[in-house]
Amino acid sequence: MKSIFSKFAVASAAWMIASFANAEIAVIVNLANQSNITTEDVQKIYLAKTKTFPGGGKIVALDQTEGAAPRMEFVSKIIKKDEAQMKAYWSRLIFTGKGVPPKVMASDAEVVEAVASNTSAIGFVDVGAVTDKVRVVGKF
Amino acid sequence: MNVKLATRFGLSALALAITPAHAVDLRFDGFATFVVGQMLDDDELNHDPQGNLMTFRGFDDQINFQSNNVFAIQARADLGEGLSATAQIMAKGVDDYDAKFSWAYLSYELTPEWTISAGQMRIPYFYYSESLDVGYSYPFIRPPFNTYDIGGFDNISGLKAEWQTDVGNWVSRVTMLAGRTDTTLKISQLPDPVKAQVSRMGLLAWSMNYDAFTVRGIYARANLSLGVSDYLDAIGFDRISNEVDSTLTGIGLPALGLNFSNDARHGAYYDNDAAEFYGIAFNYDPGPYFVTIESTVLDLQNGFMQNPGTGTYLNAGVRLGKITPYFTIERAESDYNEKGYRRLMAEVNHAGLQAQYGSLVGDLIYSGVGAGLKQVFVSSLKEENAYNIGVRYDFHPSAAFKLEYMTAKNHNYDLSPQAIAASVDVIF
Repeated sequence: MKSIFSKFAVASAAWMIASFANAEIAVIVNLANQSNITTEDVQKIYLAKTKTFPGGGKIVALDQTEGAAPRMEFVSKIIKKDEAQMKAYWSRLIFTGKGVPPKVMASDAEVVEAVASNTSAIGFVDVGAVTDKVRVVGKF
Repeated sequence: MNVKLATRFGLSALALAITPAHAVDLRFDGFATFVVGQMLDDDELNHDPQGNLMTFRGFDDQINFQSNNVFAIQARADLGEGLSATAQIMAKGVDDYDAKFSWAYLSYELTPEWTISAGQMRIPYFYYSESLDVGYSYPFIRPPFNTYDIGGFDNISGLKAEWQTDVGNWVSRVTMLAGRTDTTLKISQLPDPVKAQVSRMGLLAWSMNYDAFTVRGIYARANLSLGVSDYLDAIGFDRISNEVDSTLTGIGLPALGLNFSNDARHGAYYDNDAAEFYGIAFNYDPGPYFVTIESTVLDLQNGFMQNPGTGTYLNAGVRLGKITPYFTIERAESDYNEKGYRRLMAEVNHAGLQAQYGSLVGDLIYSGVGAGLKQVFVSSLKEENAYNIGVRYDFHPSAAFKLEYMTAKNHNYDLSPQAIAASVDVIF
């Protein structure tokens, strides 16, 4: 639990970097997961509106640190919210016991690694970080 | 009850801590709200029956830093295999920051669609019920006051089943809840807090969500008991009888000795009496703007308080980056328990009074008793329009600042209180 002010500084620095980057985002799942996953499915997964993949099977959704460039892209392009709206949305779920937010990973590399080793996992990374150990379900 | 719960939770937390075999995934979340506000003019306030100046949404003519403040920590232990334990401890400024367990429950995910929970939890009467204290989760400083006033019966001990499923492109969520609660309530008409009990509560809520649109309906019923009979006898029925008698003897006439039967008095009590609640809410939030409409009815069917009470509001706002201007219009109405009043009046023998005291004095006594009895019932009669306009500024990913002007038009007392408030809401 860092102080609000240091978080604020980090977030604004990240925001400045992100506004220059504007990279393409890939949504990735485990190679064993052959579900046909649409953009709507990804939205539902990250808004806790579904707990199983379209083809069945439990979901372990992975998130990235707030303010990280891939996350800002993901939230705005796919979830179609900004990070504050996403936070307000999740605050309702967390404090009503209706959902537990996706696990936060520290980097693209960590997401790729976690998705590669967990058949239930889904994550998002910068397109450049994708390896042949994961399956890309969509680029945005 | 809170101490007992705390001990119980303490023991189970201890049990968890000394069980090394399982990796328990423990998660802490918290939220806090700091509000400062002031009324523009305290001439627009009512006095309670004890003669104290009441407040408007917790504000008076002094700058008030405390009464709306909230600080809470929630702990959730994921025990694996779908089992989890959640506890929330909250301290409110209005209770002098006396920290209490607002909820503590076990949840078990039977299937991805079905979850059952047992313990103490929030009763989901309203659209914003379950995040009622999390200021960060909604646009306004507090949800619409009259609609969201359920008299303190926020939490319940019981069993809850939730069923979340896809219906075509819609996400359906059904909540079923059964339980009871014993609590102590402060009722503005009475000098001291009274014991209150809600038992045999059953609740069914159904929400349907499609993309940015959500509709939610709810029905609940319960048996309500309030420890008000002694007060009502003392400040209501017996007082009326005594006043009539002292007036009569004061002018040299014989005392009447008016006495109401228990059956008729019961019309003003709450003694295991049925209460019903219905509500419907619509929310459309595509992102750049949002609209919420909610309407609720509380029908107490018996007793001296509002009967039934309705509340409806419309809230809308526009998101301009980090700035969100919003407004709310609210209308609340409640009738009085005319049936209970008439039952008591039926025991006042109008013709007998005229025969005993002559028609002039008999009529005076009859209308005097009627006015006195009516006062017992109409004290919480309400017809109020409320408005607010404000702006939310998301100055940080975990914190929002809100500035709001709020006013109301109370038609029963012809009062128009106004206040300005600012809040900082954080989650962590």
